[in-house]
Amino acid sequence: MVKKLNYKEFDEAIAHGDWILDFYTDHCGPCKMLDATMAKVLKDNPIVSLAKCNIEDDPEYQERFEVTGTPLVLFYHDGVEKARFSGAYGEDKIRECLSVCLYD
Amino acid sequence: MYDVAIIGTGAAGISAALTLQSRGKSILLLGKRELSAKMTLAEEIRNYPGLGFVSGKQMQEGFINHLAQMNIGIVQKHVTEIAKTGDSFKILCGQETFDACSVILATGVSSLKTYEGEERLLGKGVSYCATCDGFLYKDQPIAVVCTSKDFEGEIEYLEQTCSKIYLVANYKNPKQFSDKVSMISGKNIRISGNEYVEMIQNDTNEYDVKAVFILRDNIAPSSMIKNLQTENGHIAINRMCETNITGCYAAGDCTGRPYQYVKAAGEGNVAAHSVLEYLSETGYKGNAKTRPYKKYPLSFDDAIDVTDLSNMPTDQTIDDLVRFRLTNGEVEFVEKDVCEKGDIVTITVKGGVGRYNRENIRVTIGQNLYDYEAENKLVGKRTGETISVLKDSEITITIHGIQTPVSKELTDEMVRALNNPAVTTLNQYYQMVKQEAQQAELDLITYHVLSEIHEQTPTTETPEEVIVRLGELEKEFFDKLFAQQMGKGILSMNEEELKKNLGVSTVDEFIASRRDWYQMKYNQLLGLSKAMNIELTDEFDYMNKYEVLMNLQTMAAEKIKNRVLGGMSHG
Repeated sequence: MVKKLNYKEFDEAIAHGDWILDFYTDHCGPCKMLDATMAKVLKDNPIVSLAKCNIEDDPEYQERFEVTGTPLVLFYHDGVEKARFSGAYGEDKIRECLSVCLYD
Repeated sequence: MYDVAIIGTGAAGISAALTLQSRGKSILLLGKRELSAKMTLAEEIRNYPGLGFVSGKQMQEGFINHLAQMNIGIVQKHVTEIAKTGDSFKILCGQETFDACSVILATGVSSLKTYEGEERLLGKGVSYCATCDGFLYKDQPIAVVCTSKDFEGEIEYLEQTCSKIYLVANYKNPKQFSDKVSMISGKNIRISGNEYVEMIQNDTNEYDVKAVFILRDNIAPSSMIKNLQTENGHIAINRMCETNITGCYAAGDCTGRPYQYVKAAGEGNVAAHSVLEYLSETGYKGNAKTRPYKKYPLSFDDAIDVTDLSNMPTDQTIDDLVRFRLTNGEVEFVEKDVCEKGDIVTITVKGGVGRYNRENIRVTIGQNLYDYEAENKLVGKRTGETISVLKDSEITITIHGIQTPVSKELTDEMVRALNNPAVTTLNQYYQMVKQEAQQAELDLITYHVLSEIHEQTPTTETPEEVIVRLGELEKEFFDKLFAQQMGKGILSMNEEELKKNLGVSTVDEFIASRRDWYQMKYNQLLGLSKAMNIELTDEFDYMNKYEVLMNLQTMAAEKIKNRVLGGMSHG
């Protein structure tokens, strides 16, 4: 499932379950590259949800998660951060982080 | 998707491209149409089998002719990033991306920063390789700028050959050389000479030399591709030219010394064969065609020919897109009896530690995110069954439930919920998405075709000449524009008003500040009209030139659409 989350609804939305948080901006080329990869990962792993967080619409994200570059991707299990990476890594990296997030 | 992307058009990249093209692979060759600047500067190459004594320039011509013969085109783009996405690679060139199953890095050595005179005199006394060029300066005085202890062997070689060496040792604890070698300060190094190297200068002195050897380890393109392993500043490879990243190979100077064309060409060949093996083992296959060789400047049709048209969305892509958008990727989970790949099982694991001691976790079978062996063993099992797997200790896994993900059935209601009065049925929505996706791809193709043409427009006038010719007209234009919009034209504004409105103190300054933009638009217009065989007279109305350009672009877009969608049904 994909959800575009604004900052107000953010905490409640990700409190339960396994979430990939994708912090992006509309004009970031690598973010767009990541989109297609995410769509594939999500299709293969329907037990995970994706939250798209636009850091320009909600600058609060930037401060709270120390976003110094986009895309920044965090992995949350029941509201707790389990893994993160920054940059247009490939599917391998997403799967590696997902494995940690789900089972470690 | 290309079978292979080759980054770099030096000897290694070209050698790899020739081999892969003759084996029928689709190639994306990224680099410069004039190949390698370093090559053209080489005075003489004496050890390339079969070529005898050739200059770098002759060699370059030979390479270009060979590419033409094999019909391999060069994509002239600057690669900014390479990312591995699953089984393939995405190559980012500014805003453009290309896809490839495999990558060969043949980027050569690129200096971080150069000394004054270094580039100008490269091949004319400035050299990066002592063992290659040292003999040319037998019994003559030379200078060496060295950044690492690793090259002391090369200095020793020069010690035997040359009469005198002035050494700049930019590293700690240099060894003691013979009396021939004098250490000099490395501050403010400048290399000078008219035709050839005559002198090297530092902050305190000048030294007459015939050559300057710069022995410098270079940063490999590790900033280009994440996690690429390097060794002493070069890309680390094995005998097969494999890097630590599966599917990514490297060849030529970027893998280390000796920096020689013949070695680079050899490695390019090895890398090409490794790619062939990799493609046949994995079964990966690109659907793009190698870009054909074209003479520049391009005609309009040639520009379309060299543009990648293979990414038009397929019916499957549209289906997926429609489903994803209408359901937001949501699925329903349906209970079932027997576990298959793609199913989701809820399991309890006992007997181990960490992830091997958990209750009620959900695992998607076949994704190998939990455990490869355990997931394989669960296939074919039923709810309530227990299996055991040997990890550090023996663990038991009990299945509590099996579900299969089912995407929601798409309905007209979902489409109506989007509140678009023009689109109320699934079929209409499908057509809309298809048109959008096709148009987006067509726009991209048009953009690529036009930029291909624009980049190739011969610059007949300098920006200054364009200013002189068009400046007066532009003054009039802006005068009118400002008069219309602000009630006062720029020609009647005083300095203060100009500063406030335009940020400059004189009108001429303003016109001059726009010169690059003039030149660009002017060149675009010229290039496009030439490529499309439309005659523009000198007297065409200047005020309308942007309109003319827009019209030309619209015509171009229409032409591209017809050509690309020609055979396809419009639904």
